[in-house]
Amino acid sequence: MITPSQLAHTLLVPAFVLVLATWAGTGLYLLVTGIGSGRRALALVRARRVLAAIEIPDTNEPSLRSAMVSLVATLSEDVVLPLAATSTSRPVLDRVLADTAVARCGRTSLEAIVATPRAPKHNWRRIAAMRVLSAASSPGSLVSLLRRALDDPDQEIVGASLAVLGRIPDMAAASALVDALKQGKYAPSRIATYLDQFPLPIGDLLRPLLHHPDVNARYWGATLLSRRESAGLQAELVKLTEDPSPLVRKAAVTSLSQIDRAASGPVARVLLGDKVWYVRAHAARALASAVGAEAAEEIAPLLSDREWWVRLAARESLQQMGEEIWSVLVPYLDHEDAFARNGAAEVLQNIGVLDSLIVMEAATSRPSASKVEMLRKIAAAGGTRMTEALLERVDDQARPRIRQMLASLGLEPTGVRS
Amino acid sequence: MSQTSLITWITAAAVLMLVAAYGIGAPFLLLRTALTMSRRRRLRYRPLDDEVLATSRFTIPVSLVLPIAGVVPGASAAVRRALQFRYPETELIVVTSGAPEALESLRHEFELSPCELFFRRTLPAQNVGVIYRSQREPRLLIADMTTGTVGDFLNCGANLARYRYVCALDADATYHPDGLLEAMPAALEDPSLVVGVTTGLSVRPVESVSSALDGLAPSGLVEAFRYLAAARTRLLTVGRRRLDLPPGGCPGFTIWRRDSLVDVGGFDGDGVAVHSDMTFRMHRHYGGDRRRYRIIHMTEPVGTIDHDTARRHMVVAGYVPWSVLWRHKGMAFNPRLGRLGLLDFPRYLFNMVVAPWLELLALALLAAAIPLGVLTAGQLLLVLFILGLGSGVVAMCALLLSGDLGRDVRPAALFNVLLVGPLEYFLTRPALLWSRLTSARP
Repeated sequence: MITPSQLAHTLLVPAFVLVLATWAGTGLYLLVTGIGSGRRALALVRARRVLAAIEIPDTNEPSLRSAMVSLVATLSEDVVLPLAATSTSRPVLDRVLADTAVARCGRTSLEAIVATPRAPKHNWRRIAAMRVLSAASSPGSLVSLLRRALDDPDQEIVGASLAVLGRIPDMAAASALVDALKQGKYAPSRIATYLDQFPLPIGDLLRPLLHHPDVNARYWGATLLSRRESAGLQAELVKLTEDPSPLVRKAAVTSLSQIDRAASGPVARVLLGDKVWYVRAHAARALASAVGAEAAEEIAPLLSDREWWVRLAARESLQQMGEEIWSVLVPYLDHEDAFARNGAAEVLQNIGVLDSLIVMEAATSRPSASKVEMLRKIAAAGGTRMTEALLERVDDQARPRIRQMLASLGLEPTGVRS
Repeated sequence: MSQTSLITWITAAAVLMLVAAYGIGAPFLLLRTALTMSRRRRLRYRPLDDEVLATSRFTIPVSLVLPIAGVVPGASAAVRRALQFRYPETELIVVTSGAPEALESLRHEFELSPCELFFRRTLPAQNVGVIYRSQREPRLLIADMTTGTVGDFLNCGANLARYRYVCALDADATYHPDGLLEAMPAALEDPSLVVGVTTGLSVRPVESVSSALDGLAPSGLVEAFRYLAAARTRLLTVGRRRLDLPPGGCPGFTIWRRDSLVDVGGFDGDGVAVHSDMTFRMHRHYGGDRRRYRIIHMTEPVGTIDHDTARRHMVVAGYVPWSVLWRHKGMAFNPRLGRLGLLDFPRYLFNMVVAPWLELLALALLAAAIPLGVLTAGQLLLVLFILGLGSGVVAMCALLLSGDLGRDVRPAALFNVLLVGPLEYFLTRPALLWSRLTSARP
């Protein structure tokens, strides 16, 4: 029978060899990779410091160019690429540096780096090459290379290609972004961000998205077109408010309210009764923006909607309408739904009615019982930041009374210390 | 079997457990995790210097809450950094308490003036003394509380917050200006589902490139040891992910959806491990049903922290304390929570409460191994070597997880760090074990 001592003797030596080999192997890996990247990092920061110290004005491009040539000549390609790929917030300097980097590394070589898929650890080089080519005076065939890179299986490369495409003022780049959105090659919200801030007018490229069979494409098409008014767009958006997808209905009514308020009113009224909560929420906002205070009675019932976000939308929409809607809201202070009471109270507070009532009632020696009761209801159901800076707006004599009244309403005071 | 023989076998089992768990098992598992995480990190596009994202209208505004309590060196700098996040829309609510020096420096730098303000206490918190607004920075609001815990400060911040997501910051951390921009897309994936986003920090290197160039970089084995001990705090994320707990050692910032905070009653007033406690509250509130909520962890560090603070975080807040675990004891073996209640929480409880005692017992038996004849002196040395080298592998995992290997720029500095790895077990482990034993003590 084996003894504990024999067991230990048998197992300890192999265990030691295993751990020693792992420690040595991992250490060697860390040392080799660490030294390599450490040297590069050191050279890069040194070069960035030199770059930051250049005081030649942007107007003197020839001198800038010769300074860049001198700097880049001393650096290896692995340092030049990240150096030229990072913006210095001096556009002319960035362009001259990118041109110099392209000349130093060779355009063909950089385009080959962009076009060739490699292991993920080399992604930084490929992304830097994309950025350098896009920052240079002439991007050459970069757009077609980036379009191809959108098919790369590595999402990091796809994301970087989209970011670079979003900066190139070329309709082919916008077209590539639209195609990527249609084909779902990356997170749609990220592609939409680049399309939204594209440097050229691209409304015509976005219009076909409204008829695309994919819901996401229609949704983002409708959303992005809110800033790009064009003939016939209103009619298309009105039609999309009847789209089977609630996402698209929501986007359509929101965009419509931004480009044609009058046209958005009737469709928003219909969508207030939509079965999907976020459509109702956006319809409330659109209606408030289109019609204003006249829509208060139609929007107020949404304060008791079963969905929090609809109630929030109703509350914020009513708030925009101003003081004149206060009489519509008062009945909601007695609503059976606590959220409706709360929403009405917050709106009354935020449109200034609460402040006015407090000041008026505190100013009288015999405050009206009904008004104090209403104040109490508002305070009991009220919102987050109550009566901000109210005391700063009244005279010294009224302050003690107002403090007393606010405290009696159950509000939390903060003191002032100079 | 005789009593002596039984003790001998138990001692042998303890020795083998130490070797298997701390020499081989943990290091190899961590190595696998570190390699997976570093590969995953490479696959994620980091939108550095991307102005387009920083100004996009498709983002959600965030209320930043920065608690400053007691003596906090560089409080003004922390506020300045928090205001420099590249993000389309933020507000910063600084909650101070017992920090007259910090408040004074903030008043001077940001031209603060007190304002009288009434607000609704949606979440429980201690009284707010004074609220200041800045004449220079309209996004800044400062609430001075007389007393309170971290939970009170965060609740106060959430009470004053206007936006849908509340982001708790740490005054000790130096955040990347793009940190928030990188973390929020996780919430943007589906704001109706994502109730929380947790992040981490990396430890400042022994020799950053700038300090090496300026000739300010400390070097030597002692500095390497301090760095390594701090870098290990990154490993405290491991084993907590199944429960969605924020990293214990170097938490970056933690983002919570405000309506969910209100639903679960806000942060714990005791102020101990508030974000871990909040995570458990969320699990219980949503019944562990991942179709209704998600808490996402970002592996990419959102900033850096210095060695001393990282080590303090590790010892003080590295482990979820017993009081918090006990408060949520109802989660253990609760079938309503599914896998979370039946497996993950009990496993964490075992690791926190039972495992440290087992380790202590095994170490005590290791000392008795020679007198009992289980090990010779040479074999004991071999066991210690295995434990040390295993710890060295763990330390290397920490370096792999810290991300950028190029941050320690001189080969000598990196070599020192690798060299002290095996020694570090014997110097740091007692403190870690003590921390686990005390935090797990009922």
